[in-house]
Amino acid sequence: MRLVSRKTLLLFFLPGAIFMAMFLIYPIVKMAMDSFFEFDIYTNEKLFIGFDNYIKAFTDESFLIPLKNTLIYVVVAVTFETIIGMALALVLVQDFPGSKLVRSLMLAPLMVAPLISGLTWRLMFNSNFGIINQILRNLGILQGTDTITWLADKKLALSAAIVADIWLTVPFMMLMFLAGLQSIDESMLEAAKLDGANFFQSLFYIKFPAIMPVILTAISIRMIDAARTFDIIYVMVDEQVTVISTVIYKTLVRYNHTGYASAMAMIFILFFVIFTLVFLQDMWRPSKGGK
Amino acid sequence: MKNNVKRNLVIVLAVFLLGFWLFPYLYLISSAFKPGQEVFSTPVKFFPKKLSLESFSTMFERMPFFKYIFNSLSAALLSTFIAVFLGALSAYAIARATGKKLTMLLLVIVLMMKMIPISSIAVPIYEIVMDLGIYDTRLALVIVYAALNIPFVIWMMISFYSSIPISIDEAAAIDGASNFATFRKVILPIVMPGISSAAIFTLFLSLNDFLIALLLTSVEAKTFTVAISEFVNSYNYDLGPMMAGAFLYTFPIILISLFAQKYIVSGMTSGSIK
Amino acid sequence: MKKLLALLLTLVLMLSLAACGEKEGTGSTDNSGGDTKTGSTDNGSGDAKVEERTLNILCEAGGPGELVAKETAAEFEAMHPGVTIVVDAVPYTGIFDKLGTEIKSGNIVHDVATLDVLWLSAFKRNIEPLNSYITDEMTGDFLPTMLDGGTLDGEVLGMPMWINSKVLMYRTSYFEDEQNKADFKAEYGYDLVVPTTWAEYMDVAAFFTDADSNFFGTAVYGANNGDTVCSWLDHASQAGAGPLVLDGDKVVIDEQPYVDAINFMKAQFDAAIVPADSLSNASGEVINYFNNGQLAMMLNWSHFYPSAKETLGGDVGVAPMIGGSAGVGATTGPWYEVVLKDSENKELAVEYLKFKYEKNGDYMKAALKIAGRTSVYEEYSKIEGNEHLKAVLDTLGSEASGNRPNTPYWTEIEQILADAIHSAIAGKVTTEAAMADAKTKIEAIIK
Repeated sequence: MRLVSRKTLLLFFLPGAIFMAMFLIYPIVKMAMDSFFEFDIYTNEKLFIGFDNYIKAFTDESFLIPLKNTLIYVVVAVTFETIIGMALALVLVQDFPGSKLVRSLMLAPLMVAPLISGLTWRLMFNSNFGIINQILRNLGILQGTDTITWLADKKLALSAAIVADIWLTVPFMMLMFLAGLQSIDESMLEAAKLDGANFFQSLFYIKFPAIMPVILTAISIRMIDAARTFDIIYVMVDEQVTVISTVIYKTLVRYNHTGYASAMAMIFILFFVIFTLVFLQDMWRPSKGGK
Repeated sequence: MKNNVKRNLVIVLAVFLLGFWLFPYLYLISSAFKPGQEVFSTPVKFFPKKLSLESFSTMFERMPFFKYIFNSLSAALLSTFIAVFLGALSAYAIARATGKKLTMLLLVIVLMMKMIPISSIAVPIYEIVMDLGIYDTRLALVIVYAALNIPFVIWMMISFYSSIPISIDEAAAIDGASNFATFRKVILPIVMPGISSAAIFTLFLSLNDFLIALLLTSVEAKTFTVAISEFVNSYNYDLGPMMAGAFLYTFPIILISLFAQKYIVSGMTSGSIK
Repeated sequence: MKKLLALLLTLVLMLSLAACGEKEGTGSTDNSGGDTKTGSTDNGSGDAKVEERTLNILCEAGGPGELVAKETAAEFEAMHPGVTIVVDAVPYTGIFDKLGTEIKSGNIVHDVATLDVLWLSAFKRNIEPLNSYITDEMTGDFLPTMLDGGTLDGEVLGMPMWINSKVLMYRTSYFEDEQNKADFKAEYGYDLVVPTTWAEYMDVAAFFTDADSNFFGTAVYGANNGDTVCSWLDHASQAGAGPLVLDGDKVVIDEQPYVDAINFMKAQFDAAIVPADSLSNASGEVINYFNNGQLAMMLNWSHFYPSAKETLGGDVGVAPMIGGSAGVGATTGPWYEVVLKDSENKELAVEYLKFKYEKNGDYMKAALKIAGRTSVYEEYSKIEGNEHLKAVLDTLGSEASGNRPNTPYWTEIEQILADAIHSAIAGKVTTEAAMADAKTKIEAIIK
């Protein structure tokens, strides 16, 4: 006996599916087709060039450099976010007066638009009137206020953007880990304590293994989001650093190379698809039935 | 005794970490309340030398504040409603679909769509919007935001539905009633927390969007995020008003999030904590 | 249940609000029909027989284009009942991006656009030629180089809005200070003057730099964007380059003048007579430094002069661009107002262009004080406070000054050049290597 008939189920599914088909599936299909052509910059005439765009992407630095930057961004940002998030979670999982309030407030950066985060950090990293250099100078670490020009140097600019990203999303990691830690069976921890385990032993041998699924899920999700970043890079360091999202946008909109940009976008999407299929199996395998 | 010392230490540490982490946001606030020139005068200080609302007034002068806020808000609210409504329905359909293989396939597709980077499909979306003749309208924002967020809602709701045993469905269907009303009366109340979480999340996602609004709006439907990014250009270096605007936009959102804590937390951790 | 109710109520409220707003929204952007559109409510009830039309103007946010467009809108609307002017102001790169995307998708939204001369070539096929609409009398009043710059393949594409170039601005008090004069003479062996040559420029800048108090002789452009490229071309033309970057189909950036130009900029950076974060500085940052009292001189767009003078209490002087081995030179930065071919209100748009041309003096009155008509220029340069106009005319009148090349690939080429110059100044590659690399890339694009 079904609650809702099959036909109704279909009706339930259809409107959403139509929306998604129109704005998500259709663009991908269109880009897939476009990627095999070259477009004249003036007349928009198409010339079929097979896989040339893809070959170019994998051999030309216009794609390889953003690819490298994106990888660095993802690896560095997520590593730090995981470590810091875990540290914060361990501190805040304890019960103390005001802990709830502190946890709530820590979520604040998460609510800030990535764009605004980028703009704020851009202001802070400015070497002339940025507060970061000012503080470093007050602490005696820097000689003059513009000894480190964060946003002027390609490498430093990438680090600056990573910092903005870390600030924005560590709360997310903290939240995930916190939830995980809180769901650990108290009795296990008690037993370990009775056996004389100290903080670190209990940490590594009990807590981490217990929340490993959470850690892995969080890392996977974050890696995908980090690879997708657009707003922060665009508004903070667009001139110094290119990542795949921004290069696709620029190639398409500013340089008018529709075919090439479409190919890059397809490669990008393919990465995500494969990554999701491989690493996020947890999410789409409904094997945990009947929770 | 020892426990008390430890606890105090933890409190101090927590407060310190909190302050450290909130620093950038506090700096945003302090910059908003500084007189315009002070924002980028050297040497720069954290606390304003004197509190001033100058940046706010400049901001109100330079842009139609309420119009842009209205655009952002209305587009976000409407699209969220549509996304949550359609998403909740679709998710139920997927969760109750016959055949594990079908469910899995649909889940994979939905998950994939959730993960797609927006910057790669932004321009084709722009062209669709153009073809429909709705460029620079709030309507365009509403339907695009809704479309982009439906996968997210579905994904979030699936785990809620999955945790409802089929027996409940069957019990409610005993007298053969099989329509939307029954669904609404029986299932929805159970997953209400999930819906609330999804709604809040989708709302924030839409409010904080930049790229889509950048491409799809021009004068009439411009959203606040796009407007703020335009404050620094080659003629004006208006950092003060920009921070003022940023403050006015983010502060209410943060306040709301403090009250909606429960939903945000459960939303984020749904599906990952079994 | 209550929650659902609340949600539904909010929805109804929002829907009704959005629905009201929707008419406004679709009003100005209806592409699918003829000329009749619903104008905005500002227009009043209007005569039922009057056709309602909208002119959509694309211009740069914060610039004189936006200012004057908005100020003159009411007058134009009064002259043409039923017409509404919609001013769409976006950041600089937004103009190019938006127009480009519109054209590509085949749905033109804007009727009129204000364009940097750099973009005329890329949009050539979508701009309405004005030859049949304008008279010789009109073109006679165009400032020098504006007619040439705005004409491609014999078609006059745009009405001049203003012409601009970088000029030298400096703090008068520093140069008039007797002690400074004496010290300078003692150290360098000649009188302290407002520099006119590269050598003088370097000396004076070094003299005034006091890194400890965060004060620098001048600033150099090192940011990875088009402004730096423009500055580089300024110096290249001073060193004898011309035509700039492209000679027909040949890429000439590896020739001596271009190398000299980079080395000149690099020398300033290495000698630390410019702010240390020069690698992220362009005109916006430089004017900020100057207005903040941290620079003795700067080479920047002339329209910054009036506001700089006001901010610094009148202690600002202006002079023509410095000269290299080939004399004074600069790249011009003219802006044109164009009509898009696919506009549904072409005749009206051309009327608007003519109207704005009559109002060219308004750009003078706007805080930025620049213009595109010789008559306007001459009239206003007699007024005190507009000394920069003469500086620009002098700079542009010099033989070495020239325009950037007309190529539809300029945006991409510019990015390559910006990367190359930026890396060279940073010292990551040698100047010669940077230019050679850039040349290869540019050749690949234009082939």
